[in-house]
Amino acid sequence: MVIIIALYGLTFFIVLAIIDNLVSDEFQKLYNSLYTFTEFTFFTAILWLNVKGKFAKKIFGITYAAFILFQILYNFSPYFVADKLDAVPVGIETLFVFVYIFLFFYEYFKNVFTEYVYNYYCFWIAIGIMIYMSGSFFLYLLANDISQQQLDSFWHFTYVGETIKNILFAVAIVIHAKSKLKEKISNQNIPYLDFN
Amino acid sequence: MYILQASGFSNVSLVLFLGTLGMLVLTISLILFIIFHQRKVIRYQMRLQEMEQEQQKLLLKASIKLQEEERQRLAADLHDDAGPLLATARLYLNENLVNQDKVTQLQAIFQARQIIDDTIQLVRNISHSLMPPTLKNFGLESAVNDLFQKISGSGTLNASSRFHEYKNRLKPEKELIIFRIIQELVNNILKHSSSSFIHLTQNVQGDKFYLRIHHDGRGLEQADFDKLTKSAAGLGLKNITSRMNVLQGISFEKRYSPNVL
Repeated sequence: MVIIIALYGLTFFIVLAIIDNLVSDEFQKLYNSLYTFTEFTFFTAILWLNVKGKFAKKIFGITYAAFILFQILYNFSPYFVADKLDAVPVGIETLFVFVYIFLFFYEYFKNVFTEYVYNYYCFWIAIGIMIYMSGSFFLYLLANDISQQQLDSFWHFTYVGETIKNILFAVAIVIHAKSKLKEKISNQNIPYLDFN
Repeated sequence: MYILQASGFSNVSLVLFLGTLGMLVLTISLILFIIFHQRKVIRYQMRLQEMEQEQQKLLLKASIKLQEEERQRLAADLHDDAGPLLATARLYLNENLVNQDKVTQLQAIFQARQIIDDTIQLVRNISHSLMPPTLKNFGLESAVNDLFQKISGSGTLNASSRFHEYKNRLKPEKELIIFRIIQELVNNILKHSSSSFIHLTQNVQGDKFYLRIHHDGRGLEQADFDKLTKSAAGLGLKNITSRMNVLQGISFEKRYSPNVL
């Protein structure tokens, strides 16, 4: 899990710090699509690994396949031309990720209700994603209908959501590491019982 | 979108701002609701668990106390009754007996035999109080009928029982538990109810085994039963509850009316 989060962080650091500045206008549409696709893939993978039920996993699979199909159709359709941002795929991505988070919480509370949810690292990941996506949902949706100046002025707000998400992801990693350490210590407390 | 475009960019900015704010408020509210609701439910569950543990402790204490009382009674019976009887028999059969004349010897042997017979009867009674032989050999129906006949035989009140469907005997340990519960209930009726009759009815419906003990004296209602089992008093009732806990699938009928146990 930590590897996926680290990979996610590294990928988007490279994308935002380097590639974002190098992309020319003619590849903007492809870049936006790939960005949305990569982000959706990471969020799906992180949440998919944290659900156990077959039903939830099936929904994840179907939704992910539907999203890929939609993106292919969207990119090859002459009717959808994204000038600033791929607003429709981002909107759909947000809705699908919210469905994932709903499924995650549904499954968590169905199976575990005796342990506080905030002691579980994935809770912090889920709320990080929720805050990040709900904070930028309207901006991405209306990005093509507002002027560049307005977009730039509102764009700063997405950094707040993104920063909160990154902090909450860091909290999740700390909680995950702590629980692993606790597990290791409790395993060490068991004496040798003639076999391992 | 057309409406937004028509009304100018400032409106779009407002929609954007309020929409984002609304989404964030909704998300944060949802997160807070999840956290606080779960805390509330966990606290409630913990309280329930504590209460259950307390109840279990009470039942365990009652069970231990009852076991100790039973052991004390056994020790007293053996020490006060069987001990002196055997000591007396030993006195009759001392070494000097061989020096006595034949009549005295015969008299001593006869007395000793009489005492040993009494001791055998006493040991048998103690053994029967631990595990009634009728229950072991002939089952719950016979043991209950036997118990009720003995009560009727005392002449203080009329006791009767009727088993409607008891072709297949329950497991011996279950029969013993049910018999002990009946004994305890009957004992309570004899001690507290001042009734003139007791009637026990048995029947089976589906996979449930029903027993109804009916009398015309002062009775218990479900609320009294629950209250007494939770209080420090009511050792017998706690013992019934702990025995009922062992019997999975068998439970008291909740509908109690006065005079029905």
